[in-house]
Amino acid sequence: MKSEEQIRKERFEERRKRMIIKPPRIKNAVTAFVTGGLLAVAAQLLFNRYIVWFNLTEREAVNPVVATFILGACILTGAGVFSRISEKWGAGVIVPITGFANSVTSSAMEARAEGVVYGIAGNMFRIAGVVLVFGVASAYLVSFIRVLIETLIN
Amino acid sequence: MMKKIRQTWVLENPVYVEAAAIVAGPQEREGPVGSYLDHSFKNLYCGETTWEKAERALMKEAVDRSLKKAGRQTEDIDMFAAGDLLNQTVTSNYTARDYPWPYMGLYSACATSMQSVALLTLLVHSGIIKRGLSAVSSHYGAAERQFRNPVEHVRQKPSTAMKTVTGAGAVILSDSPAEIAVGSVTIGKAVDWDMKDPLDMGQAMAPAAYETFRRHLEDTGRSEKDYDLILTGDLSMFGSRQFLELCEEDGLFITDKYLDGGNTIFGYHPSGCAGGSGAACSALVTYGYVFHKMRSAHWKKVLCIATGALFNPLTVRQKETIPCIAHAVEFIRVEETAGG
Repeated sequence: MKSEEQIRKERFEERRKRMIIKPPRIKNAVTAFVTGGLLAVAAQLLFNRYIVWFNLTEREAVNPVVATFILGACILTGAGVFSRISEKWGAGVIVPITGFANSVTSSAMEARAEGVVYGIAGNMFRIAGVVLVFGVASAYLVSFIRVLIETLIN
Repeated sequence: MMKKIRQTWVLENPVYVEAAAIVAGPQEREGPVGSYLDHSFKNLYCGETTWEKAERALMKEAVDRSLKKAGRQTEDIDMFAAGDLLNQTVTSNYTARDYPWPYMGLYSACATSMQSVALLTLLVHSGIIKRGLSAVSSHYGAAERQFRNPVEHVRQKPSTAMKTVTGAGAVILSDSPAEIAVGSVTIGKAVDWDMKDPLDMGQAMAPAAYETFRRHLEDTGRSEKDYDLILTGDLSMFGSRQFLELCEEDGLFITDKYLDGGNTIFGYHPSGCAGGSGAACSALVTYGYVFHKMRSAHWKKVLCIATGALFNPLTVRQKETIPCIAHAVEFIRVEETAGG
């Protein structure tokens, strides 16, 4: 026998599930695809230019392009523009390295009043630290598996 | 049958609202409450360097303006009760050090506004103090930083997410007659209906609001028809729906006289959030909009139920549920006084 209280709670839960508005996944995915693609095109053009301008090999030109994007995202975050851009353009502008840059910059900005050491440096990786830990750990794991398979095949 | 514990105190001699002042940030000024503001700051920093200092500036401004509006000097206040959302209620603590008053720091999350009013009302009513000042504040940047992520951090938010109101409200309660009086107060109990989502506080708080509302009616023996307006603090879009549904299940049909602070503060359909939240949300709407309408005799009897989600970012990450609280204060318009 259910108490009145329980029935009330169940009805509450039912309504809660009904009221959830699902985010427009398809629209979000298409937006992210387009904006992410456009960014990639821009990166490729920059990549081609860097090879010509600085006389780099294809391998060497990757890092300067990534650095340019990180710098851009940091400056835009600092100016308070990045959040507005990402509102319109969706995940396409976050998924590349720019999202990572944004999380580091925003955390550092918030903590600047607490000083350079414990404030900025201490809080910089508050959000990005998770990505770093799992990134490093999974990279280690994947390369370990790769080495293992390679030695087994040979 | 368990013995019923009293939650409501009906005042024999009303305690009066001498003056109230509200200040807010830029976005609140654009909203419907904007025209009732005593002062608004042009940007979120309020002329300071950090969010925390900005919140202090808001509260101090509200306190000073309420004193000025009441025509009182600093020494006329016998007790200062204040609260905010930050850890250890720092905003209130740092504001309190600028004044010579006995001070009590309070915390009921977003229900702090009515908690401090209720407490001071009871103190004034019992004759312990003659005049008390209550202040609450909240700040979008400071709250976001403490409870969620940095302001500039980009992340998709669910449609239930609420935006913390930037603002502060101060009110002076005393025993000398004024236009608006406190009729009764109901102190809520912590209610937990197993809600875990900190980005859906509105729905988590709805049961607390409903329980306090029902207890208020039960304790006073009144019906919902006795009130001209029932105001909840910051349930926002989803929570206020749940609150109304819970009331309807009990046969309380209040839709035509119901207002929610969270739905009001940024307009009915704000972009990017389900409404406002924060201790200042109920304060701005009650002290500004509702008091103004009461003074012009639009409403005579208003029940203000401020709701608060008593969560902590740590306990949420430890997969705990969110206890919520709601405190109700009944404001009545006093007819016979010749202006206040």
